[in-house]
Amino acid sequence: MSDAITGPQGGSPLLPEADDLYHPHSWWTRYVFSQDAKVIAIQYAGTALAIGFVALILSWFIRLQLGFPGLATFIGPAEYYQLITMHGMIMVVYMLTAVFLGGFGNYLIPLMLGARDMVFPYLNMLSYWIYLLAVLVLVASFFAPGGPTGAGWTLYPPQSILAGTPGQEWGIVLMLVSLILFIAGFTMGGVNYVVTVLQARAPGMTLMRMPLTVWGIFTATVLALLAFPALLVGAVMMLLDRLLGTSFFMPAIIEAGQRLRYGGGSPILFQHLFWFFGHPEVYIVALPAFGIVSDLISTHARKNIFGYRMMVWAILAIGVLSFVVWAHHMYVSGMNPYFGFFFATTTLIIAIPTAIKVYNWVLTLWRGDIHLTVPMLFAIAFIVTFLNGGLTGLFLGNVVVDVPLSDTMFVVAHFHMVMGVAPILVIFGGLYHWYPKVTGCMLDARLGQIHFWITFLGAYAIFFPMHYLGLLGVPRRYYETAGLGFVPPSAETLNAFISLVAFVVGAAQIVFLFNLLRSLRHGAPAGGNPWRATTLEWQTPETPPPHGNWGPALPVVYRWPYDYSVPGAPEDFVPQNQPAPVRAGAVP
Amino acid sequence: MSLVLAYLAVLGAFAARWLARQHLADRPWLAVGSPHPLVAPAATTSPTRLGLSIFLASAGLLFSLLVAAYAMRVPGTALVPLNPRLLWLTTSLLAGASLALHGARAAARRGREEEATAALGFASAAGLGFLGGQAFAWHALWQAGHAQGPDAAAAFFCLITALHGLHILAGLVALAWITARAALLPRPPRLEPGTALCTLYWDALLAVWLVLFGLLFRTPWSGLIDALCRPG
Repeated sequence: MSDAITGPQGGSPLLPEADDLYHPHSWWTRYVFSQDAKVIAIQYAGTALAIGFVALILSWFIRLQLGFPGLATFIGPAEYYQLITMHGMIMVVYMLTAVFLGGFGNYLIPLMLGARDMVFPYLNMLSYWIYLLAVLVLVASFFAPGGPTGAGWTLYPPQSILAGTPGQEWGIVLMLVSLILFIAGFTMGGVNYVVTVLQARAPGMTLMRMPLTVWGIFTATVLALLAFPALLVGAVMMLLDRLLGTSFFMPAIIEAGQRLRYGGGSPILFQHLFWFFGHPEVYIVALPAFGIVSDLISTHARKNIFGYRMMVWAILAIGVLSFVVWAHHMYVSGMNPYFGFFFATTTLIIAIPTAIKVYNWVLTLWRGDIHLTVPMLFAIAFIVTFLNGGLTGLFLGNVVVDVPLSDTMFVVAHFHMVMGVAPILVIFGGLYHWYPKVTGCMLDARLGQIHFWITFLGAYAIFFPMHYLGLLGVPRRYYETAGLGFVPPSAETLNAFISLVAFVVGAAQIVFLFNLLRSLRHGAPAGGNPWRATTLEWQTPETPPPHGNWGPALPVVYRWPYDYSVPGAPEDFVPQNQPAPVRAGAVP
Repeated sequence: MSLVLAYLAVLGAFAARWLARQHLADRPWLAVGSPHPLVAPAATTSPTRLGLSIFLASAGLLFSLLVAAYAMRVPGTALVPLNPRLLWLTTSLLAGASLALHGARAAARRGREEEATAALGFASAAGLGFLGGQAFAWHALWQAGHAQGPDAAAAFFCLITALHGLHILAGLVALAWITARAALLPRPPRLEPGTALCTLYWDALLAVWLVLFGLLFRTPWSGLIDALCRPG
């Protein structure tokens, strides 16, 4: 029987009590302009997945061109650059970041901490609507004269704002405005997440009793609050270069025999600003994924997470180190070789806490009561994929190896494995795991397994050979490689194979969508805790949790979140809010 | 980027000090039962103040990055083509606004609401004066054509003052909101909490401005900023 605190003096003075909560009065304030973190989470995740599907379709066109050059007559070089730019930017910023922080963050932080809602619900709502505006501005660039920008997702100046680059007129402006809006919206949400974690935890929920999911999202949010300002500065400065003719990043340039008005700017300055944001961005996506995977593995292996303290410390260490590795993306920019040595060293050091996490996941699985549920399949697939991408990262983090591999398909394969496929596997795992709590219905497991196996095996069929293409010297960002003397004909055959698999994997996502929609109506009833999990979100009085989450009584936390298979316990899990000793003589 | 790293190190030190008190070496798997009182102790910082502090830490990094970008892009010998006398005046207005807010906060704490409202009005006027002065300097640079061309120092001046001015504008909106509520509502809320938040915000923006002023113009503290931004 769970203990609970009632009354205004019962909870933390900072937890909004039921009476203090904003209560929606109409359909619009309940489902559209909602201040409930759970609704906002669904709005964030829905928007992010929708724009993610757009980016997926863009990737089909990219693969169509690479695998079967000339087949799609509507894809010329300009369109190709627009496709790769929009695919990259949407996936990294508008999909992955938004799903992990806006989606999982909003849903799980209050529930896992035993809070009724975020501390600043109105700001939270505003955060989503500004995010949506950012997405709409970005989408508008598809319809603007000249189309979206084709500057590459890194938007490197000077070429990003010069004539000749697709989308130079409107596309780049809309992209930069959209990024500025995104950052403004995220900052509102980010401040909210951090304050909620610091001040709105349920009684008894010490930091060292927080699930690793919350640790990951919390640390990633802090990173984002410190990394996004760099992108904001870069975006504003580039916007001024483009619109007002300032020369923050633009050197003296002669174009078609004419000297442009620019002069003295530093393109390298932009690279520093971009990657000061860009590398922590990898961990802004990865840390929530690490946390979620830890919880999925522990729950579905019915075993406490191995090395909880080490996992927490590793998350913090990765967070700190992620700010001193940015220039490993710039080895070929002509920077001082001593800097290269420094950044190669820090890159190797950050592999240590990351490796600790991988070892701990494997040791959690070791002799666990592994249930190969769909979320577990995705979690295990993440470990393998992240390890894979991490290992190729060691190649690229080393200056002497990076230089010949730079700008080849090896780099594309590496970052898709580590930052594309791996976190998306976690997103799927998380969605399969928490969908029953969000809707009260189970997702269809058979469809889930079909979705998993096609996605997992397909991703490997796409990106494993891509490493080989990179080693062959096939360059990235090339519209067409036919006729290049240094690219063997076999590379084209391999490209065609990769494209065919990419079409299949993309189509398999329709199975997932179908499952999501079908299960809303036809899914088996989930009950409150279908995975027999310990964390607080599974202990809510109602499923799906109503506005305010906990009814009249807030939960009280008595133990850490990983009490699985405790010897002598009547069941193989003990919820965090269960006060009674597990058995006589158990350690109190 | 050395200033940015130094700024991050300071933030890191605060975070480390806080984390050191969070029992991160606990073994939570052994600690069943509540190790802390079930009723959470009263927090020493209000959520709004904490949220504002976190926002200011993030905004501080934004300005640190601008300073670092300035140091990378603009040679140490380049100067903003503007007479700094006007900027000294605006700086004193900003400092005056900050002092007035401290006065307002002290008065509000003692329950002297009318005195506090008057001080808030003075702070708002000084803040508006600061913005007006900055806009005048902007206008002068714009008219001379410096801001739109490759003159990096002038372009940075416009960019930095615009971003700082936007933050000041947001502070003015907050001040107006607090003052209007105190003046117009039949049962106005206590002035002290809102005034305390405004004081923190304006102090931070004053500190940021002093760094920016020392970067863009020659001031007694410019040597220190140069040493931080342009090591070696």
